[in-house]
Amino acid sequence: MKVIRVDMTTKAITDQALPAEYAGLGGRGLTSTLINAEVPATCDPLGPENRLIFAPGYLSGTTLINTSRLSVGAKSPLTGGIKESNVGGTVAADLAKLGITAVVVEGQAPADERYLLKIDGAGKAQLIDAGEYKGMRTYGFVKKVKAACGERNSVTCIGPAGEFQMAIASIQTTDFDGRPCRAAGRGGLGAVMGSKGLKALVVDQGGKNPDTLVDPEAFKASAKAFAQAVKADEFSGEILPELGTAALVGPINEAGALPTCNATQGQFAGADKISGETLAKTIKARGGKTTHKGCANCIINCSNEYVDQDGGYVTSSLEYETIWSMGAMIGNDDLDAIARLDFLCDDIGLDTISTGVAIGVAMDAGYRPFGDAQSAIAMVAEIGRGTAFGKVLGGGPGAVGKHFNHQRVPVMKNQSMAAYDPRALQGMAVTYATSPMGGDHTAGWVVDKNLEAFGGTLDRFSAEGQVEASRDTQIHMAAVDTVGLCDFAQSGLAAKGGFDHFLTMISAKLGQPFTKADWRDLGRRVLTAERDFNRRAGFTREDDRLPKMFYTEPLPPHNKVVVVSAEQMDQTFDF
Amino acid sequence: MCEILVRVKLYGTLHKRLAAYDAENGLSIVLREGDGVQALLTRLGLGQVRLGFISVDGRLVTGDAPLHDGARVRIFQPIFGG
Ligand code: SF4
Repeated sequence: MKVIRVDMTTKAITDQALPAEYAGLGGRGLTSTLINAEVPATCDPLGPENRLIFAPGYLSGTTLINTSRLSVGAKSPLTGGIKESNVGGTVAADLAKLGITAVVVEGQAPADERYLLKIDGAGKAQLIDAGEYKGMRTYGFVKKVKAACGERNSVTCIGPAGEFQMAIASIQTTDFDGRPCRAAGRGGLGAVMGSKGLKALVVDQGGKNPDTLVDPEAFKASAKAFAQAVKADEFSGEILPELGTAALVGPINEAGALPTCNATQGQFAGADKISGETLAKTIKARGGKTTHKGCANCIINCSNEYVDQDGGYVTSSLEYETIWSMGAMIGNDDLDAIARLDFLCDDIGLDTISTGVAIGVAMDAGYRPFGDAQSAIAMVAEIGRGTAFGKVLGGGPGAVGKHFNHQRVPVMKNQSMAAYDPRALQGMAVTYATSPMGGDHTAGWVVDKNLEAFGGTLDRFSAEGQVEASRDTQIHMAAVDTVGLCDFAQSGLAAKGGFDHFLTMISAKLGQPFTKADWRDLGRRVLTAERDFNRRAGFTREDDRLPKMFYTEPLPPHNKVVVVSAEQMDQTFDF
Repeated sequence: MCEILVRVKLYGTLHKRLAAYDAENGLSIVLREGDGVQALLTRLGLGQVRLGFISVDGRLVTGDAPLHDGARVRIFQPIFGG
C-alpha cells in the first residue's frame, strides 16, 4: 500500500506508505479525500498547486471480477470544482498488482517539456523525457511507446487536446488489447495532465505484489458467488455482451428521454438507425466484434469493435453515451460517422460527451445544421489542430454558448449533462444539479427508479421522492467508485445475498467487519469531502441548479419541464 | 368476430426467444378485436418472460393496455445504465 509522489517542478519522486487516515480507501474515495486535504480549493486548476491523482479501486488487483477501474482526480478546469473521473482498461489492475495505492502528481514542468512516468515491474517510478512525442495523437503515440518500453505495459496518456490544456480534454488509457480507447473523459483532467507536462503514465503489467488479503479464503468464496450472480443476470450476462450499453438507445428514446438536437426533443426520429440492435447487426455483418473484453478481469464484455464496410478497425468501444452525444444530440443518424467521431475523440484525447454537446450547441446556434455529420467531423478535426474555433469547441459547451451568445447550453457546473433528459426523468434533474461533479449520469443514475417497468416506484414527471432517490444513489455510487467495481457488475450487488458477499470481500481485505452502515458511511464521507472542497472553491447552493431551459422549455413528446424546486434540491445532502 | 393486425418489434435479446423473429421487419400478429397487450404477450410466448416496458404507437403503456388494428407495439427488456 504505497503512494508514489511525483513533483513535476523538481522531478523528485518519493514513495510513501499510505497514511493511516486513508486506510480502507481507494479509487474516488482516495482521490477526493486527498484532493480536499492537499489542494488549495481556490488554486488555478492548470497551475502547479493542483494535484493529479491516479488511484485504482480498493478491490482492483484482486481476483474479483470487473474491478479494474482507475479513478483520476484533480481540481477540474471545466467545473472549477473537485473532479473524479473513472476509467476501465487494465491500468487499475496493473497498478494494484504492483502494490500501488495512488500516484500523486504535483508541480509543473516548463511548458515546452513532456515526460513519461514509467513504473517498472518492481513498482519503481521514473520520469523519462518525452519531448519526441510532443503533440502526438494517442493511437500513434501508444504504438511508439509500446515499441520503446515493451508491449506488456499499459499506457495512460493525453492527446493534443490535453497538451493544448483544453477544458474537455480526456485522459485515455489502453484497453485489454492495448488500444488507447478507454477514456477518463469528464471534467477536463487531460488538461490538468497536460499542464503538468505529463504525456503518459506507463505501467508494467507483470506486477506480483498486490495488497495481501487478511482472509483470502472468505474473499475467494464470495468472489466466486459474486461472479456467478453477474453471469446469471440477464442484463450483464446476456444483453450487455450482445448489444453493449447501446442497448439503452431504444428504451430511453421510447421513454421520450433521449436528448435530441441539443435537447429540443426527447425522441430522435433516427433512433432505430443508431440503436444497439442496429449496431450489433452492422458489426456482425461486417465481421467486427460485438462481444469484446475492454478491461482486465471482465466477465461481462460490454465492449465492441466497430469496423468499416471492408472489415477494417474503426473504433472500440462504441457506447451509449457517445452514440447519443454524436448521434441524437446533433441530429446525426449515421452510425459510421458516429464511430468515426468516437475514434477521433479517443485519438485527440477528448471527452465524447462534452464534445458532442459542444457541437450540438454550435449547431443549435446556427453554425451548421443539425444532422450534418461531415461538419461535426470537421469540427472535431479543428479541435485536434488547435485552430481558433477548435479552441472554442475544446472549451466545452459553455464556451461555445458564450462564443455564439447562445443561451441553450445544457450544462451543470459548466459540465454537460449526459444522455438522459431531466425533464422526462426528474430524478436525473436532482443528480445533474447537485452532484459535486457537475452534470454527470454515473454519479447517481436513477433512471430505473423513475421507470416502473424497470422496477421503479417513482412518477418520473413528479418531484416526489426524487431527492431521496438521488441522495441514496449518490451515496451508493461514491462507495462503488471507491472500491472500483464496474457499474455494470452491480447486478452482482442486486442478486440475492450479493451485497453481503461484497461486504465480505471488503472486510476480507480490511481485516475488520464491514457492514451496510459502513458502506453508507463511506459514500457519505466521500461526498462530504467533495462538497467541502467545492464550497471552499466558491460554490454555493445556486450552483446546484439546472440551466433555465430545463425549467421553461417543455420537452416533446411529453411536454414536461423540471418540477423539482430549489428548496428540494437543497435537501439532497441533508444526511 | 373481427380480427386486428398489430406490428411488433422486439428489443434487446428478446429475439432469441422467438425463432421466427425477423429483425428487419419485426412481426405481424393477428389478434381478436378486444385483445390487449397481455393476449399479445401470451401469443408470443412472452407471458412469463421478465420484460421492461412496452409501448404502443410510441407511448409507454402499463398493464393490459388495449390494442387496435394497425397498432405498433415495441417490447423492451429491463436495463441498467451508466
Ligand atoms: S463490462 Fe464493459 S466497462 Fe465494465 S469491465 Fe467489462 S468491458 Fe469494462
